Amino acid sequence: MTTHLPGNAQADLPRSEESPALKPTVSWRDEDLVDLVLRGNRIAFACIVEKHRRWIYRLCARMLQSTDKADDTTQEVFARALEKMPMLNHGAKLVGWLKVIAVNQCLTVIEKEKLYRPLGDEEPARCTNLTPEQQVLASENRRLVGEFIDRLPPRQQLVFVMKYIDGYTYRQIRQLTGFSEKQVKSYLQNARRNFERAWTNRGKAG
Amino acid sequence: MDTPLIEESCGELRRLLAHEAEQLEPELRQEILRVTSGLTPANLLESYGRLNAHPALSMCFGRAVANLTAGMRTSLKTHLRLDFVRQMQRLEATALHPELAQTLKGMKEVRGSCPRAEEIVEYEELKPTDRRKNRIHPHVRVCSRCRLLLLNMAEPSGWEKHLQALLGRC
Repeated sequence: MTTHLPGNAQADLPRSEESPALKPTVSWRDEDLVDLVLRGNRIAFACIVEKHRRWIYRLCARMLQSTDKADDTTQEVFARALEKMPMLNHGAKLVGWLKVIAVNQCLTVIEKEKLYRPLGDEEPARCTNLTPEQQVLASENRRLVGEFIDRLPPRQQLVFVMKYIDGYTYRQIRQLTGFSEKQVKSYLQNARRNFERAWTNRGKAG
Repeated sequence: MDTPLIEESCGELRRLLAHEAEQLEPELRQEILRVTSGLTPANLLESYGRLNAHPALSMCFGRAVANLTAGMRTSLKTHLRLDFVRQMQRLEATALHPELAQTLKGMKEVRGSCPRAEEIVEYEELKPTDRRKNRIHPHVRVCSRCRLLLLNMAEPSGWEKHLQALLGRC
């Protein structure tokens, strides 16, 4: 992993008379480093990069499933952070703020490269010919299904939604989640069983 | 696949299992005969599974298979493997209750567009119980993309291994 300061970072930083004298280190608090960056201290920004680049890189690598893309995206994240830092009100929120920038950058790549798309995904055809009664029933069914999904364990929820709502194949589910083939099959079988049981018994409890 | 050979193998296996059954307690003998009297290539996997569930019956099955000719053993193994693959394919194709499948499709149609990164990050930091009360929850719970983002945003132990596995496949 090689993350450097963004190309024009040094030049972009505002300069002041007082801050360059200070020599911050990575052990400084985020808010103090941000404060110094905003006063033109170039070393402070390098400290922020050094302090946060690893977790940002890991986040990008997981989300993009590529170390190459993670390298580029991490650099982009810091370039954006530098550009937008004057908008950051309080240094204590730096981690969350950087995370939002990182997720945003990853989403741009995910969209551009269609990374999370199921095979043959198309815009769903909208059903417009339902009677008002059918629409009410469909809406009630959706509410129930939402509740059933919430009741499943998290991993079962994930594979169930991937398979039955968005139509991912077993292979794609395995690749995108990192679960083994056996796990995917087991989560899906259990989810389907739990779900169909709840669906069949709907209305009986009340 | 050589169909006559697999049928012949099943016939021989039935005969050998009946012989093995003679040495068992009456109750177990009855069980093994019940499972194997109708043994055919079509229900071989199911019968194998039922015998395997009981240690004594499983041993009988093992001994019976060992007494088959090498060609018959190979034919059985090949058939079991194919049958297993078919069963997995059936599992893959298993459809949900039609009304349920229709409702799930409908949920995709009405879930709307994905929330912004800020909202996803905020949601990720909530406890599971608080997530359900969050504004974006109705979307997230039925959206694979958002769920994958959340899965990958959390740092699981051993993620490097997963990443390596992914990259190794590329």
